[in-house]
Formats: sequence, C-alpha cells, structure tokens
Amino acid sequence: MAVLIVNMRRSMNRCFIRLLSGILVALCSAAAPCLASGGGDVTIGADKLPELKSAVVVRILQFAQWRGESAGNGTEPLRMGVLGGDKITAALAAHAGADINGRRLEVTTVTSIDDAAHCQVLYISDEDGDHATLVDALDLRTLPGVLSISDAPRFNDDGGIIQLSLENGKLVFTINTNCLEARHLFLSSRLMSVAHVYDDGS
Amino acid sequence: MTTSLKTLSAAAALMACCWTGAVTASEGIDLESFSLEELLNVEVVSVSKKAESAVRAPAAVFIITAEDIRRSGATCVPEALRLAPGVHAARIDATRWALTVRGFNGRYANKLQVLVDGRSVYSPMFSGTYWEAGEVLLEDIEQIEVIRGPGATLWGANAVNGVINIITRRVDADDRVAVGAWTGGQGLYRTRASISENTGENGALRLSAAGTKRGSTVTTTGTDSGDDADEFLVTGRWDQDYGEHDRLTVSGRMLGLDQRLAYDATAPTPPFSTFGNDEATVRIAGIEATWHRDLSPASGLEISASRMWFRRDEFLLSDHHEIADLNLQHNFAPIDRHEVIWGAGYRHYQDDMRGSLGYGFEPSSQTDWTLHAFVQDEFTAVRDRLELTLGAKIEKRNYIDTRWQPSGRFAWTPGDRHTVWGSVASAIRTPSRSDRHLFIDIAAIPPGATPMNPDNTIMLSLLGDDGVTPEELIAYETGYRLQPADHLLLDFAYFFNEYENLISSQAGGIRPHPIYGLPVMQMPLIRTNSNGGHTEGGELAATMAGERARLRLTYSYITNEKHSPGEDESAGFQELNTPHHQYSAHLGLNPGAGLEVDLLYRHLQSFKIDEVAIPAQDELDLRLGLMTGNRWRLSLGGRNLLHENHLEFYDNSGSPFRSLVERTYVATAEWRF
Repeated sequence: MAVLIVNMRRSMNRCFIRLLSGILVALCSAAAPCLASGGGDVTIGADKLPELKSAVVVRILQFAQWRGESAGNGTEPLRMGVLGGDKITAALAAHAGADINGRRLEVTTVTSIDDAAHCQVLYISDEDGDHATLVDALDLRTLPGVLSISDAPRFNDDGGIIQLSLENGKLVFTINTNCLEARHLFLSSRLMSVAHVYDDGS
Repeated sequence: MTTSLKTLSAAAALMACCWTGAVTASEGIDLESFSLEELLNVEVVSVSKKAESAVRAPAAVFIITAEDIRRSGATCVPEALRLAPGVHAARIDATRWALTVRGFNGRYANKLQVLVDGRSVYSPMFSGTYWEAGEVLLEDIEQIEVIRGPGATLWGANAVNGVINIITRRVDADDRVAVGAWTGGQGLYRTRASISENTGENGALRLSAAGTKRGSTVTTTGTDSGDDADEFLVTGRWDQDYGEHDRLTVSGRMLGLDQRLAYDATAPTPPFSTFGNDEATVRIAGIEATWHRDLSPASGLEISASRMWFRRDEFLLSDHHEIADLNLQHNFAPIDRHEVIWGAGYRHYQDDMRGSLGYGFEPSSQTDWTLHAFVQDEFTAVRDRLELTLGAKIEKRNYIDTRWQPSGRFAWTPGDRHTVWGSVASAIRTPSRSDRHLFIDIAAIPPGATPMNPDNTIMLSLLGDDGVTPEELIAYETGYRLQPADHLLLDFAYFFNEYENLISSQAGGIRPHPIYGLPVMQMPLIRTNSNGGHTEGGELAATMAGERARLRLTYSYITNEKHSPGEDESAGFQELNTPHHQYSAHLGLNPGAGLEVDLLYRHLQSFKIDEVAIPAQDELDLRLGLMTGNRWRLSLGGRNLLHENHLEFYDNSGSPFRSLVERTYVATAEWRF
C-alpha cells in the first residue's frame, strides 16, 4: 500500500513538473513583449541615486504651476538651475528638452544669486556636502517664483520648498507649504498626496 | 534525461534568449518611463554600508539578505543557508536537517551557535538546533549573518565552528497587510498573513501567522518515510521609539509542530529491535524585550531580557525546559581611535526530561545557570589602514570551572579595494545535558550471537558522564578580500582549527544490567573527552553584480585529521560528515517588467557518514518571479531538477530509514496592500 501511495505521488509530481514546464514556456512567451516596458517594483544600487532623484524632480515639475512673472506666457522654456554636484547636474541635464506641461526644460548650472533669479527651478545639491554655504549665499527667502529643491538635510528648515531624502531605502520628498504662496507657486493635490508635509513645529 | 526535464531545459533556453535580447536592448533601467508613484517605490540598496562592513571585517563573514532568501526560493531557513560558503546544510527527511559550518555535521551537530536577533535558539539538550522548529518566518528576516569560525568573544560559548545570526525586520507600518500562500510537490502547503499598524506617533506593531504542511518523503527502498509534519507559527513584534535616543523592541512567538518520526526501539528480548512511526509534538513560546539608548554618536547601551518555554514530546522521550536570559551591552569610545564594547549576561535553564525504558536522563530534572562577561577593544592603529581587535570572554557555569576565551584580530586595508585579515581565537563548547546525563540503549546483541554472551543479551548503551569537560578549540584564520572592479568582490578565507578534549564515546567493561529481572549484560559507551584533532580548509566567494544580473560563486574545502591515531581505537573520533569539496553558483537576472529569474546550481562531493557513503550531489534549482507593481508577487520554481531524487544525509543517531530528496516544484503568491 505504501509503495502504491509513493508511486501515485511520484506520478503527480511528474505531472506537476510537466505543468511547471508548460507554465514557464507560457510565461516566457507572455513576458517577451513586456520586457521592453518599464514599471514594476525595482531595486537600484546607490550609485544610481542621482538618476532616481533627477527623474523624481522632473516628475514633480509636472505637478507645479508658476504664477505671476515666472509663469511667462506658458510656452517659454522652463529654466532649472543646478548648484553643486557633478553627478546630479549630469543626471538632470539628461532631462533637458523634456516637455513640462508645454514648456521645454532647460538645465543650466548656477554659481550666483543673479543666475538663480533667472530660473524657475533651483536644485541645490548636497553632493559636495557644503549646502549650508550655498544656502546662505543664495538666501532662499529672497527668491520669489523659484521652486527650490534639494537633497540637503534641514533644507526645509532653511526655507527650501522641497527636500528629498531617503527613508527605508526609498526616496521621499517633503514640501514646505508655508512659503508656497509667498513664492507665487502652486503644487497640485496629486503631488501633495504622495508628499510629506513639512511641519516647522509652530 | 526525462521528458519533463527536457521541456524544462527548453523553457530555460527560451527564457535565456528573451532575457539576452532584453538586456542588450536597453542600457539600465528606464526610470523616465516610471510614474511618480513608481519612482517613489524604487528601492535604493545601500551597497556601501553592508559591503563596507563585510569587506573590512576581520572575520569570515557572509551576509544573506532578505532579497537573497526570497530569490533563492527557500522554503525554510536551512535552505537559505545553503547560499553561504562553508555551510553544509543537508536535508535528513521532510522536516529535519543536518547543518553545520566547517565540519562535524549531524542531526545533533553541536559546534554552531544559532541566534535570532542575538538570542540563542539552540537546545541545551544537545548543544544544537532543532531546525524543523523554525521560530522565525522567512518573510520577517532582514538578513542572516553567517560568521565562520569562533565568534566567542561577542557571541558567547558554543560559537565554536561558527555563528548564524538571524536578524528580523523592524516593523514597517507601510506594509499594512500581506497575505501569501505556497504550494509545491512533496505535499507542501503554506499560508501566511501579516498585519502591521502604527501604535502612536513613533511605534508600530506587526503580527504574523503561518501554517505549513509538509508531506512525507520516500525512503531509499521506495517506501513512504512517514515523516510528514504540520506547523503553525505566530509571531509579534512591536518597535517603539522614545524621542531620538531610545528604542524599545518587544517580540514574541508561539510555535506548534506535529511531526511524524520513524523510531528504532531497542529491547532485551526478541525481536530486540522494533521499527515504527510515532508523532512528535513540539510547542515553543517565547517573549523578549530589548531597550536601546544612544548615549552619544559613538556610544550606546542595550539591555535585553527573554523567556522561553519549550516542550517536545515523542514516543520515547519528552523534553520540557525553560530558559530565561538577561543581557547588557555597552559600546563607547573612551579615547581617540579606540572603540570598546563590553557586556555581561545571566542565563537560567531548567528542564524536566521524561524518558522511557532504556532512554532518558539521569537525573531527570536539572537546573543550570551561566554567568558571563566580555570585553572587546577595536583599536585603529593606522587610520583607514590598520585595525587591531583584542577581546576576551569569561564564563562560569554551575557545572564547569571559570573559562577564558581570548581572541586577537587584525584587518589591514592597504587600499580601498583590498583587505587582509587574520585572527587567533579560542572557543569552548560546554558539555550538553546529553553529554552529561543521557542514557540510551542503542542496540541489543541477542544471546549466542557472540562468544561473549552465550546465555545473556548484551545491551549496547550510550551513557553520559557528569565528569566531561568543555571541548576546546584554537582557531587560526586569515583572509583576503579584494574588489578589483566596482561590480566584482572576491573573498578568500583559510582556517586551521585545533581541537582538544573533543567529547566522544569510549567503551567500558561489560557489566550486569538486569532489566525487569532479566539477566542482561551491558556494554557501556561512555561520553568522555578522549581525543582531539584538527581541521583545515578554506572558502571562496565571488560576487559579480550588474544592473540586470548578479552572479555569485562559492567554493568550500575542508579536511581533517585526528591526533595520535591508533592510541585508543575504542574512542570514536567525531567525524566530519561533510563533503571535502562543495561549490555553488547563483545567477539572478532582472530582465525588467518586474520579472526575476534565478538559477542555482550546487555540487557536493561524495562523503561518508559512519562509513556509509553519501553519493555526490549535482542539483539545479530554477525560479521565475513576477512582481506586479507593489501589490502582487508571484513565483514558480523547480527544485532539484537534475535528478529524480537523491540522498543528502541520514540520521545516524537511530532513525531506521534513509529519506530521499525528490525533484519537486514550489509555487508562491503574495499580496500586499
């Protein structure tokens, strides 16, 4: 009886292996067209973080609106200035020419507050670790119409609008909503729904 | 090659063609095509943190991550441990495993310390681990640290040949609910559910439950082994932060395991030996709490307490015991270039063993305690180049003298991509309850079978001895790690382990041993510190990682020699029971679109268990995974595809059968929201 049971189970196992083979072939066939598309849950190395940050920044821009002079006529190029950090500068520059709600993205490096004043977006990199000096030099509170973004710690505390950071291995961003109106900026509710909101404790 | 295997090979070839095309068609992951939500869901693996600590560690350390476990298709912890070099993990039957590091394997392998979140989970009954009674869910594991060689200074006694430290995940309240199911060949069914919830502003709680059913295996003679098992496991973990500097973790678990086992009972009268199957039930409950305070950026204090209740009831023996642990650990930097860690702990153990005729413990109840303290100083002799580590542990048990276990290590980093390390360390294995107090009749020699017993039965009995002292080891190790390119890491280790006072069994004189008035004689095999020897060997791990593929190769070699062979042939030297050579390859591919493909090949050279040859093993596992967004994870895998079945190990401590490991499949599905 035991031998009979064992033989039955072996037969079932063989059936399962054949079924497994068939499913693998079917999955391969079905998977091939999908291979060219992106999406899904992805893991990247830390060396690819600048590319991830730049992709997130460009997505954020899709959900931002400028009012007043910075809005222009709606078709003028959208200028993004990048301060510090070769890697993030290169990663953001790769997005130059992207269509941001009908405006062509221009990416330039900035070295002074005058340069920054001509931009609608300012990315301050913490790559070189001297963000405090940069922030002091730029005095973010005097930059109306500029959406300031940085991966520097305490960027929101210093008056920056969007601060990128890593939490549990995933990129998150925190929005300082207190200064949006003063800077003539509007961020969509969809963006706010996936963002952390800065709390200054007041 | 069977038809099904041919079909599988064709499937693998087809997939390889598809993936090759995909990889060459695209340089890297196309993040531009991701939505904002998908971008925020991309996981950034901090290679530097773990890799750097592993690269510069002055020890043979191998990290198995949660990702490694998932992609290996492992259905239990021992299967995952096969990924590490120097580990010999062999399935005995449906649920039981023989697992060791650097030799001396067996059902009751006793030179390996196993910890879950720093808490020892091995059984004081035999100084080993009941691997079938897994107290942690695979999905809750953050990583497994496999430390080859003695880690006695930090980890305590019985970390002789190695330490396996299983670290569970902190609670992530974002993973609110997860539900999963497995099914596979050999009657494998498993369901799991997990729920996480915030508890206040800085706290989170996770509750998990899993039920697993494993069917019985087939013996070498083609019959049913009768070793099926049902298991349920409930775990809980609560992480709470108090301010910026204090963390509290409370965790607990309940495990129930009902497994059928084959037994071989010995009797003084005909038929002298009886084979049968009976059910063993295991019930484990435990709770522990750990409080951690950051005293400064360079110092911290940790206090932990735990309590565990264990019951294992089977036909011939019931093992009921309780363990309470209290530990303190403090690290600080007293002066520039010195990092000191010290700690102390107390363990209380109490048991109640209920045996049967010819199998039990004397005394049947025992209370033991252990008091230990350790200190280790990591000195940066040359900044970023040379680190020296000196440590020592002192331990006192109620039944052995105070013992010192010193160690010295260095790590020389001549360049950012090279580390040479070396160590000399001593370690002890304290005698287990079995070594001291076990009695078991292992065979009966019928009257007239030998000239020694024309009229009487001779009972061959294994007897513990309260006089045995700890086994001692001095381990010499050296290693070299290099990173010749950004995506290539090579790790070599060499070891020479010198053992003294190894505990084995020595035959005593035949003596009267009446049982129920029958004139039985006894030939005792008494546990004694009768011999020593050495083992020598090395391991190699090579990891090559790209954006869409990773290849990891491992190789392990070990040989042994006993001291002064022939001096006392009646004292059996502990045998390696491990292949001299084993190697493995794990190729993981990420073709995109959430697809994962894994191929795992392993080879183990033929080896012997008590002069019984275990044939060489060549096996291949294939796994195909699919992740759809962040919600669904599906996988389908074939296991042991190269042969219909094979023998990996057998229980040489009394099981009458040898179970085969069969070719099989495992399908899994997991849903999170």
